[in-house]
Amino acid sequence: MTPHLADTPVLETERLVLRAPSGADTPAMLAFFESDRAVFYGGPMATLEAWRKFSAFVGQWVLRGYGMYAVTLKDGGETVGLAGAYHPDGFPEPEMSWLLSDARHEGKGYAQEACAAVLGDIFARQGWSSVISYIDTANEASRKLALRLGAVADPDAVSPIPGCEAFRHVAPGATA
Amino acid sequence: MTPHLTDTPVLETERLMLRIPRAEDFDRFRPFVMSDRARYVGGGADKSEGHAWRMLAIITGHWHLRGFGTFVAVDKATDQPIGSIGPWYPAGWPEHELGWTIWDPAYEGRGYAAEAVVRTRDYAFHDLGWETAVSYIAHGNDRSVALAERLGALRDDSAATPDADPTYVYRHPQPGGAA
Repeated sequence: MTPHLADTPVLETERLVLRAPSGADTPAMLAFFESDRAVFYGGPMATLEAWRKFSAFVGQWVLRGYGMYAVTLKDGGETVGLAGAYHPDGFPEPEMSWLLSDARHEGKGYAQEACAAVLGDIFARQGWSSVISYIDTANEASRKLALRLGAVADPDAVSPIPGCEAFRHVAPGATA
Repeated sequence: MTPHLTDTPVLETERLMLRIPRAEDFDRFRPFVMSDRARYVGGGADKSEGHAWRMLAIITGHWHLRGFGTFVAVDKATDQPIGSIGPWYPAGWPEHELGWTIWDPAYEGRGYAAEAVVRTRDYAFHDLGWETAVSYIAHGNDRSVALAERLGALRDDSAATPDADPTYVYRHPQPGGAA
């Protein structure tokens, strides 16, 4: 009878299981936000601030009803990152966001596999006709992935984060 | 199938109901965080609405990540949420803490915080199995120092503090024992 988050969706891909984040993901998330890899996510930052950031992702599930999934490997269960709809107060609309927690997980297509599943779920479950991604102009890897996922630059969208460019993912059959 | 926190406790005192935070608490929480009254607890008159929302998201996420968390105190007479009180233990925190904030100044000075802290302290020791509990109080927060002392907590200058900010550590008495 320990208090916990319930009734969150679970998404499955060929190699990944995406589920709501939990305490089991804390070490991977703290390591990420404390590292230089977090440069495009407001980091690197101290443990306390890293935990607050992660806890706010979790709290968003309760406050909004949707949020960032923990991306875990089907084989072994390791947490390799986060992907999902990030929507803090002050954002004009929810953002499709993602990260891989460790360099070991790069170059394997995990981010693309996770994001494609999340996008499909967002359009089906939430019924949104499109979703934005704000990407730092220096974050070449994320820009490439956004384009690979089919997103298009949206010069009309104003990024709430300075230094970012907006890319819009459009639902199948919808118009941008 | 809406995501929500489940298996969460509800505590009661004479005048208050203590429950998990909810999205609708933001209406009462926001003006507190964005006011000078919140300057000792991470808020302040210079803070944005986004900062306040993030604080509510953090205290909500704490429940899932830790399996316990800070309660929102609701005035039973009016059904109004009036403050957040109780267990707090983010990563990087030296020890289990009992915290308290009264959001609405109209509820200050009427014993509500003490009433809620006593109940959540009892819960932390008996139900969560804590062996000790502290409260971190920023230097200058005289009201909270006075409340800690009224609750029987004793200053522990040998205890670690959470961050670089000048902070007193007050250690709470265990049930039936000394601090």
